[in-house]
Amino acid sequence: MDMLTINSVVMILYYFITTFFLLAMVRNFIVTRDVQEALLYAVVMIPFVLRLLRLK
Amino acid sequence: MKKKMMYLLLLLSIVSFPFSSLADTPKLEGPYLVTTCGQSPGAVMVRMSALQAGVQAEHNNTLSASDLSGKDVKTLIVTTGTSMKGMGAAGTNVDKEIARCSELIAAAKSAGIVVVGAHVEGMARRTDSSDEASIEAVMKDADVLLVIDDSDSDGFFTEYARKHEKPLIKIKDALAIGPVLK
Amino acid sequence: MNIRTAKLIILLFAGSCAAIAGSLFKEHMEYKEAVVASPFLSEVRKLSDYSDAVKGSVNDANVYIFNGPTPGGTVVLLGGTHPEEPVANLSAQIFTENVHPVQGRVIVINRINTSASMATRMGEAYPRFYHISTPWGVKKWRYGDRLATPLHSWPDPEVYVHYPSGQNLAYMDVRNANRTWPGRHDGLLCERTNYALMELIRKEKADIVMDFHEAELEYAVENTIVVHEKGQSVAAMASMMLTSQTFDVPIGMEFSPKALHGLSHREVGDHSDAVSYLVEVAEPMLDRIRGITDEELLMSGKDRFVMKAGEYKLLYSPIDESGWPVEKRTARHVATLMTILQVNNMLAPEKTIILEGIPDYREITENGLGAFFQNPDEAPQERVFYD
Repeated sequence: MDMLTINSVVMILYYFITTFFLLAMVRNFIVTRDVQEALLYAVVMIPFVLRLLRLK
Repeated sequence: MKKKMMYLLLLLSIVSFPFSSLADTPKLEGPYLVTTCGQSPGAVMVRMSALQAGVQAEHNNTLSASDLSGKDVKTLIVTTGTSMKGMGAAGTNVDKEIARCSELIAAAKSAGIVVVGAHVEGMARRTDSSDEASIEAVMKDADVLLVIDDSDSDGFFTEYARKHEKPLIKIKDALAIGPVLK
Repeated sequence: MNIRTAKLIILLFAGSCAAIAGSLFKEHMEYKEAVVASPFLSEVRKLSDYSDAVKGSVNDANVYIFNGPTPGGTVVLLGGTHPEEPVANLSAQIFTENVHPVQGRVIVINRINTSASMATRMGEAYPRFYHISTPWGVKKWRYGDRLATPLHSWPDPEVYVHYPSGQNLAYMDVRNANRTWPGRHDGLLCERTNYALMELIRKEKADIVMDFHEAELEYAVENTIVVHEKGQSVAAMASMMLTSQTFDVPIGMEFSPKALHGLSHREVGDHSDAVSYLVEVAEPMLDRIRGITDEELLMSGKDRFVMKAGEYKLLYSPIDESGWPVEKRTARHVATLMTILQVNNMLAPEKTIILEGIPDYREITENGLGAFFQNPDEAPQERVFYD
């Protein structure tokens, strides 16, 4: 397998990892009863969303 | 008649004023050999400036004492100020450069060759301890100092020449090197 | 307030932040820079015409080719290697929009690393765009990063092993278009870009390659021409002439180190018949010690913190209240290239390149840059392109 293919596979895996952590944060956001924690999860989600949308 | 003579003298003094500062500086004579102590492009600049003035100056950045034998040379010009990129390109360092040039200068002096210590790239080559080391190593053994105005903008070389009683040739910039070698 | 309402408000707040930031990033990424090629344009090709290594990639740049009526040498101008150095891009575009080749050929690429111009450096609060006033309105360019964006080249290796030297370089430099020369066909984005550029240089039989850059004043290689050993006589003469006759701040010269790989001044000269030059000019915006990071600083080059560093002799370039305005920086690059050509014409007359229509140092510094960019709305549409 050439380097480019390996890199592309790893890049796709990164997007899966990003999705996984985003979903984990969404779940925590839903289940938490603490407003401060909810705010923290929401703010941390922003870069993950932007990365999944390939904007930054 | 007396008035005319005075006008003539006045005119002559005005015309000769730009050269008066060179009156007590030594006349350099070719053939010239040029090298650098610190692998900066100063030596290439000397060669190119000389070429433009119609003077041949042989240039070798790695000139050693043994290269002098059998060469018809009257003046050796060693430019100072170091270049990390240049020393990297040549696979050397400031200590090796100083050792090479010190040996070269000693050999040149014993062969009766006039040694010119030059600094022709301005303050950009007077920034760190390597620059300082190469300047000190060459200038202390040089018979004549050749510097451009920018290199001496803080008066360092003027003071150095005065203190060590060495003749100093000070020129506007590197393009003015050629005419001095004519 | 119950937790559900609070979460809804938080979600709206975070969603708005993401939407605003996202739309700003998207606008930056998708903005197209208009280029009005000079009337003496011969053809515009794509970089992928020289190698399929960049086909379909964001770095498949426009290649502007200007052939003079008389044969002579060929010069290739590379702009936008590091898009956080805007003068590199502006200098190349001055040639694209104004050049009239009388003898020889000029090939210009305004942006060789387009990817790096589509996002700014993370955590630096860089402006997204910079603007220049012209007689017909305001012209706008993307400001960018030093490296290709990770959106187009990811992941970086743990250690970047340069091809073909095998030298170890910093991991992120695999996205640096001036660390990936001469490139490789099946490498990552910047390696493929530089491979295609090498193919262009070889196939077009370039004699001179000029890579425009800017550097922080804290960096030792400043206001200088870095040259492959093949061009040392030309660079030395050009440096002396410019310092003596044109510039207020001297321009120096440096030899390209043989053991430092991946840079254009080394690899282009080693892997082609061309003589490679790289020029640097002072850009206070890049200094770590700078103050407010905004377009004003980028364009005026005025910063009192950088000046303070100068007072303590921490800089390799002078700076005073007049700063390093973009006009002066661009004028230096343009004049440097023109002087290199002038000297090269004397030393290698068989490779003569004579260019007209290019403003000189005084014209750029006195009239500003805006005078030399054409209005894309009024220009003939066959001469309007987008980078």
